Amino acid sequence: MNKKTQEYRGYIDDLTDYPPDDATFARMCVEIAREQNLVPEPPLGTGLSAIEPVAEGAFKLMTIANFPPSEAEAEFLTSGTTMGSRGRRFVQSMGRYRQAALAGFDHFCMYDPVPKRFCSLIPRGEIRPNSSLSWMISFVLDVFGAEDSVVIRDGETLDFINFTAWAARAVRDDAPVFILGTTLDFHTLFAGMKNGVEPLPTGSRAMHTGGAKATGRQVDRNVLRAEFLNKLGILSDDVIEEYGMSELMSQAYDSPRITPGRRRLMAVPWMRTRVLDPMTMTDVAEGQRGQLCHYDLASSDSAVALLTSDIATSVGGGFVDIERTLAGGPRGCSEDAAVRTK
Amino acid sequence: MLRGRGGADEVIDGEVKWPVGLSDSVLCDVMGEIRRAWLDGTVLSNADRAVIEFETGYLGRHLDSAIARAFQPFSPSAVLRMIELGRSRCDRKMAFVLAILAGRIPALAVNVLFSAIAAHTPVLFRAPGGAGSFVKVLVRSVAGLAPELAGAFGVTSVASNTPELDAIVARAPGVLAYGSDAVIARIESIRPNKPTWPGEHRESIVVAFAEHAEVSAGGDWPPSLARAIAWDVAIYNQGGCLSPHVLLVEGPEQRAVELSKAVHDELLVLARRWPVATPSLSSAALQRLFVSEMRSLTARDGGLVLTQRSVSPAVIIQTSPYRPGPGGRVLQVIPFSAQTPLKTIIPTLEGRLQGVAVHGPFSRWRDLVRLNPSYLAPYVCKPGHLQRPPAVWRENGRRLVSEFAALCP
Repeated sequence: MNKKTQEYRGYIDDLTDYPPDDATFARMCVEIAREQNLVPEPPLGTGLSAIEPVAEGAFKLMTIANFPPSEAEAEFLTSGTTMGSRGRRFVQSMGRYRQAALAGFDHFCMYDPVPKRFCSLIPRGEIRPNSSLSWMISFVLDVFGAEDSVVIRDGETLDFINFTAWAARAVRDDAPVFILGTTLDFHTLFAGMKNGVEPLPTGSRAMHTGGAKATGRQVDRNVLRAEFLNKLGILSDDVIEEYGMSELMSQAYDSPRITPGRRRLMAVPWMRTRVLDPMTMTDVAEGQRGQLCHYDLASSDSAVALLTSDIATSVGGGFVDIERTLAGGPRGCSEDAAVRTK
Repeated sequence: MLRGRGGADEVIDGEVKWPVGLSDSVLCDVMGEIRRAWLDGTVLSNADRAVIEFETGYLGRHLDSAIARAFQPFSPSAVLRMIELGRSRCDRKMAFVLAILAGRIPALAVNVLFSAIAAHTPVLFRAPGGAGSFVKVLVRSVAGLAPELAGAFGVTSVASNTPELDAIVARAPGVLAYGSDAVIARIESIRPNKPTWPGEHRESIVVAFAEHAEVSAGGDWPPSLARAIAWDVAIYNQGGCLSPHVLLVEGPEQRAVELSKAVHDELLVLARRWPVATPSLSSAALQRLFVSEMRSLTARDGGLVLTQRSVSPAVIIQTSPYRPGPGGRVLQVIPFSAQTPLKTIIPTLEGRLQGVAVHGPFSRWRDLVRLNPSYLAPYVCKPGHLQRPPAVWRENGRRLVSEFAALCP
């Protein structure tokens, strides 16, 4: 590891109040990318465009690590596909992952009034050690959760009885709460609740993650937010969406109280998400759809630039309406004639 | 209903029946008339053309070439041979075939049509979703050019996975079905013990053997070889079962690199003549992801990715096994030795080969197949001829005209 990269890693370890401006960010990113052999000669472009991002699928084909994998403190498994294979993301420092995850969560989710009671529908990292999401939950519960913070799970199923009791205690004590779960978990929770609970205290909020990926179908977010209000009494602006990937150390959030205006997912300050035209690898215009490419300073141990299978719309510096591109289906004479959209 | 951009509405759904008393000479004449009209370019209105360009992704001269390729095999002598093969002892009136098409290759529908005419077989086409306009225009042209065949051909737009389509599938005397393994399995389960001709997933390859003279003389690959390979790749943007996705090059990696660079140059030439229509965002993203994955693999294992800023065309020289590619003129090239089992080089193509283009003696390919019998292909040819099969070629190991002629409900 060269001195410059060491400096940048030190910066990331102290990254709370001083997010880099675009030029500094690009310089740092390119330097890390150069060490990862992701900056070809002659350069492809300037700034972030100089970097050749690593495709998400490469994690299923080979080891992507900028350090000896034998020194990994953790191994996250990436999403499976219809073909069945999962990739591996070796983590050099769980301390750095913890730092990045907590700083992002704090930045987007812990606005006043700060809730102290947490409920997770997602198992902790100690139960699912290969899940980056579960470890993030562990970090959040351990740092931000105070009295009566729980994991509402009975093996593979949700524990409706304990959830209802926990919610009732919060209402009795007028204590705002924070509920964490995947989008699918919340669908299951709402389906099992029938009549809902007493509206949770003011300041209560929820974070859901996974979206269409979790449910396998398009998620109508307006319908989902209406459910949060009807079943739990949580206001729409306090329903936060998180976007994360096992291949990344950092996340993006749609948190209207922090980033008002049109709802969209915004990357944490030490990550940039570009929405690219895959034909030219240039940024699409505002309101246009393209392929997501993340540049994550916290991923200096793996791939600082990640080209994903996600298509989304570029909105106000962030992105919305994510769809996963389908894996290659049959070709030859059994090819489906996909409708062209351009 | 046929609806295109500005095209006239026309009802072409419905029952199909073979007209009585059509002689061989009448069939010869109508097939010749249909072929002539399409090759002359008098069939397509501007509106039809615009819709078909949009659906196929073949623009301008590219569409002209694709259509010409579809009709060229059916020369007068080829038609005579087809008619001979198409003789049947059965009552043809009710022996209709449901042809479930897939993809966007004009040649597929044309081959079914001409085989059916030669075999006196009425066909109800089920157009592929999102690319059905060509077959609708084709059937409409038959009605216009050959009134003798009135009522023999039709198109249904009934949606897939519906009770309505299942009912037609169940009752049709014969079903020709192109689709995935799952689609074909479902169709066969609806009509057990009835004639069903599956057009399952198959792919094609090119194999360049090291011609002794070239190797010993240290000579270059012939320029015509690169042109021929590029033509087979580009004509249908790698759609269809005869489009090659991988080129095997016998000998050291350097020989593969030389040939790959030449093929890439020819693909760039063809990209100017036949510009690649802008694919859907999903397709473009998948192409970009695939090429990016291959960059990572070649960086680790050795090899080279030849591409410009735009992701297509791309030629990837790799030492890793073939992976199902994204199409859109992305070609994988693998140096190989004839002693290496093909299963380790092209594992996903075992039992799935449709066409093999061979540079070098065909006997070399036969020797290779003897060692790798599950890689037998129905169609073997020279490079540049993958997309030029003869009129009565054995697609998936069968001659359609003979299969149709044998259909006796």
